[in-house]
Amino acid sequence: MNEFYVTNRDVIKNLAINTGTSAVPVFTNLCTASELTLNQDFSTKDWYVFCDAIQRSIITGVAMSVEGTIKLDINNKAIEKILGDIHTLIASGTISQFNNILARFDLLTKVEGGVLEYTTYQVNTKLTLDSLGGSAEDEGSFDFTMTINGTGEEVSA
Amino acid sequence: MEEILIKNLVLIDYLKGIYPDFKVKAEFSTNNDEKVIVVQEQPGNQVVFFGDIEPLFNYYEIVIYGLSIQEMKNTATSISSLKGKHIIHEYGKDKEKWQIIFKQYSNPQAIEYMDIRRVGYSMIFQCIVNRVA
Repeated sequence: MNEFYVTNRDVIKNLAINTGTSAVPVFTNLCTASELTLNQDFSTKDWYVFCDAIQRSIITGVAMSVEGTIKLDINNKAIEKILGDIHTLIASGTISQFNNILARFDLLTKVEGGVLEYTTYQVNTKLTLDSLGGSAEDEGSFDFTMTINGTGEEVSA
Repeated sequence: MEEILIKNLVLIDYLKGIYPDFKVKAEFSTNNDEKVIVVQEQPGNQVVFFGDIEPLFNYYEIVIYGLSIQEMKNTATSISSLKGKHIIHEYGKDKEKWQIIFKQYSNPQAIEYMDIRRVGYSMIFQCIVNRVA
């Protein structure tokens, strides 16, 4: 069996958010994501028994999130929407626009005959943002975390 | 050792396809070579596995020889744009499938060879070259 390496660009692809309505979703790719990770934050319950001092542990749950950095491409509808959500927050003080953001991404499944195969997932997320702006000479960017709410659904191509 | 030689040849074969105006090979000949891209594996820090397999990536010194520094510089810039690309390349008469992942590119610089009256452009490319099928 030969090894088949991949780049991080090959692991998660086509991260997109809904820029349409909830009834008629339109997915726009966040193309200028320069860093992307799919995090699994496992919660565990630990205990010890009386006869030794070695820890026992079980997993009790997991919080999953997509985390990354996006360079501001103001011509991109998805990025424009996220900025728009911040404008709404400032102007009206509402935060509901950050809940239930429908996101889509392709996750690497396997390789078949030298071709990488993916599974597309659609998930409900809550979006949190950080560090919009920074050093004057740097390109505009922000960090984001999309925490996945509940299970996602597989989207057939 | 054998594996490193083949990896070098695979990378040469791939670059030949993109730069048909150049001779792409492992060594420079002072006799009649004018426009040449020389690809040679170089030592460097590597990621080594616990499994008994080849290290993850290699460093390749790519030197472009020619008559115009402008053309060499442009070709070097064009080669640098391969950064981040993942290519599946068919090699040899058996059409073996190889993957080439271009990682980081460093140290591009002009070089002058007074004795052979050539100018060149030298760079180091970190690449994963690996047989996949």
